[in-house]
Amino acid sequence: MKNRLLNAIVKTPHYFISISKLVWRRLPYIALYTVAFAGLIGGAQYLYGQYDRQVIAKAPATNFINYTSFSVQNAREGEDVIFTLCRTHDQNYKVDGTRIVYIIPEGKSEPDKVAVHQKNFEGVIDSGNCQSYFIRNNEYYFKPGKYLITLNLDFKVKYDIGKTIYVKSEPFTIYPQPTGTNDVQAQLNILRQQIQDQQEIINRLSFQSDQSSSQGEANGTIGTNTPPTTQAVTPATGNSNNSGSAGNSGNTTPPPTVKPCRLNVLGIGLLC
Amino acid sequence: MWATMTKTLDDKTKAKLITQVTCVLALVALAAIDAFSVDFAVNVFVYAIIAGILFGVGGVRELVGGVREITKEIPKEADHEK
Repeated sequence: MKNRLLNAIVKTPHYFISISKLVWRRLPYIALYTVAFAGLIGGAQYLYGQYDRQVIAKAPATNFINYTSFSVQNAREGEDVIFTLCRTHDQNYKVDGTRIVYIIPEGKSEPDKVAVHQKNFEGVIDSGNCQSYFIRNNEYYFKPGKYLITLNLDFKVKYDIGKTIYVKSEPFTIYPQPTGTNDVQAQLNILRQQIQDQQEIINRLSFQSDQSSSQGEANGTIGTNTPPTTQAVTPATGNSNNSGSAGNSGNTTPPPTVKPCRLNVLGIGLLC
Repeated sequence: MWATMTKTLDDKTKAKLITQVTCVLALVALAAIDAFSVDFAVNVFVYAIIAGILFGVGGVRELVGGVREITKEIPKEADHEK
């Protein structure tokens, strides 16, 4: 065995030379057979490709992506709308499409739906079977009522053949907010106005208290804490509650300085 | 037995045998790689060249027929040895 192996190793260059001579001698036949086989295999591949292309072109889009469920959760006015798509697919296709939101008028049914919002989008199908998506409140504001969402998706399969799939959700309902006016935005505006009114009152009060304290010091009535009044007080004439008002006319009181303050109202930081 | 049979073969025949067996093994290996790998595809011309060499060196019939076809003189000696 060992001798045989050694013999083989020694004779390898000899075999290599013999093979090279053989291939060189038979080169025309090798070239002929090579061209023949290239034509044969290439032709077979082309014919199979044409057949496969026809099969794929005729296949419905659901063979590649099949949507099994499209459900939308009911929500309240002003909230984000969540919808879930469940589908089976053999590849993570890149899709681009259009999403249209329809409203179903009250008392009417689905065939009477009216398109209210449209959005184009692009994406890649995820690997999982179900995926949830959002329609944000700032993207489209859903007023109370019944709605429907449709998706029209385009994607490309083998040989760059385009396929289109259309899927429709089940009708879902947007309920009004439970308290006060239906319009959340109106409620926010009312609250903002109230905050501004309170801020003006606070500014006026703090100014009055500064004014009264500075004038009390100038007249020697230190320690008297005259409560600030909400009545109109001008800086030049002084406070009517102060007994030393006669001496005020000659005083050169420095202009009152409004102390900067910061209020925290409903979580909103406001400067006084 | 194989050693006895191949001893009678000349260098040209041995070279032919080696070339043909190598080509067959290469074709089988490439076909397996092409079938089981997703991203890698063997070019058509590679298959054509290997098949061209396999058939071009000649003697495929003998190869398919078996070594008995190659060593036609052996059976007489083998029968005689029995």
